[in-house]
Amino acid sequence: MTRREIKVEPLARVEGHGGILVEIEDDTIVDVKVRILEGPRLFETLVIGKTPEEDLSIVPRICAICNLSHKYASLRALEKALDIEVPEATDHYRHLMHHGEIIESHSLHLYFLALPDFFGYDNAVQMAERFGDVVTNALRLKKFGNRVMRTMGGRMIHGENPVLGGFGKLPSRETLLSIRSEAEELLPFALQTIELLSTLEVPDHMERDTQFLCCKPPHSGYDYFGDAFLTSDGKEHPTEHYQQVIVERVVGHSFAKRSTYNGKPFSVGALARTLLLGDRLEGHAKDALNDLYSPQWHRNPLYNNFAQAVEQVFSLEGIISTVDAVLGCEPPEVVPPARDSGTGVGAVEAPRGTLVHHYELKGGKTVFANYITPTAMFLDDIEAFIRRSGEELLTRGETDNMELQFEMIARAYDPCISCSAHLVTVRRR
Amino acid sequence: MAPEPYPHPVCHECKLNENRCLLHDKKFCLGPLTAGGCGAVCPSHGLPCVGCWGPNPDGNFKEHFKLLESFGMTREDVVRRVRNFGGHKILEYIADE
Repeated sequence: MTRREIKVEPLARVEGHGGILVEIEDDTIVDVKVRILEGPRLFETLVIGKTPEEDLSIVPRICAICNLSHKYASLRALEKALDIEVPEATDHYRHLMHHGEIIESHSLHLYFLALPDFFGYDNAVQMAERFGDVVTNALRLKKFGNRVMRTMGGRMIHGENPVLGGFGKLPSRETLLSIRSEAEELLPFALQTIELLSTLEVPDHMERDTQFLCCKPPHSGYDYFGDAFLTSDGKEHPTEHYQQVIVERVVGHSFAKRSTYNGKPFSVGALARTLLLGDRLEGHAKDALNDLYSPQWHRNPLYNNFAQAVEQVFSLEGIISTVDAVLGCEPPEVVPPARDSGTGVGAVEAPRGTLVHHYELKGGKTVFANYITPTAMFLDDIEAFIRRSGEELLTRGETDNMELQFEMIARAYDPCISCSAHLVTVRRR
Repeated sequence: MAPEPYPHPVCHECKLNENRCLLHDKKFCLGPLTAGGCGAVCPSHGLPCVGCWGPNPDGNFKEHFKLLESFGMTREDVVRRVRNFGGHKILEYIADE
């Protein structure tokens, strides 16, 4: 009996500190561990005894990349708890902020973390030798996403501008118009990316069936939030029941909790959204999905990169239409809370998947909080795909560079390891 | 390596931005106690400073706590908020509180 280990540590080109450990006995995969080595973050306990305003400045610190998704999820949860109903115009501004974050995060992942693998480079700087225009335009796209985040959030990272019931300060008409025209300028590049991806050869050694989950938007279009979850078995679940839908557990090799739906791993993120909500897309985004889509998307996580490219198009178009909507509205006032106690669950789609924040407030103070990040949801699925990939590669005898194949699978999910490390159990008293 | 010290409070940058002082409106602003360098970003959006860059070494904690208490906030609430982003070193500044 020969026993060997494939160990990838640290796992590069992902956010945070993690690794992959695959154990092989003879020609059988005996164990796959995606190890989350980042220390626990303790946010669920950090907010206990604090006011909703303090929660809103502390909690986005979970993540610097998707800080506004965390802010948005907390806002949605806390506003439910405190019975705050924001006007439509505030929703538009929040959409704008969220589109900015999706563009910032997707462009970083797609061009700088994922694409180098497909073209056989170690990083985007090397890739620039042959794909100089792509890398330059990708930087412009990322910068634009950051600009929208800075405008709506108040600064590049951890802006305090989005507050309970509204915003501290709204951008000027000139700023909004210049954001709109920059989105128009970048749209051709986002579409060119769709063409570029359609020429790629995508490995198929990990293919297996899985489940998908995402937020169901409260309107008939595509969007990044909702008060219900859609799952690929055709069911719909109110977000308040999230603990029955997304069942968490603790494992020894990871500081992040693990989640299953129906006792099995599931995927969240751009791929889940485009598969569950794709028929709601319109305009160029709809064409982009039609151009790229194949039935393999249901079985192959590498297509998450393609789905992100589709969402880049959707969000650029979304910024254009949202700016138009905002300009047609009176500037919204900040809505004060109607009460100081209550419970609320807020769900949004962070760039890498569904994000749930849950609060219980009593007398204006937080008595319970729970956050489930997308990475804590899909880690089981990454392990399942790596196991399948390992088995297939061993069968095919393609064992030259299994490490890279495993890394590509993990990277495709765009895991955010720092976000995911929440190993705190908060007991209700 | 420690970050380069920034010897001015948030208020310094807030003044340069010509903002109206939020303390006039009895808002819970931690600007005077907080290290600047952020460009007074929150007050410039009409929002009180939450103290996220940590203590400004010259801050007059004692007097500012009294001022904030006179706005109707309890001492406990003031200390808790100062500690949110103060880190371990904040204990040196609020040892008497």
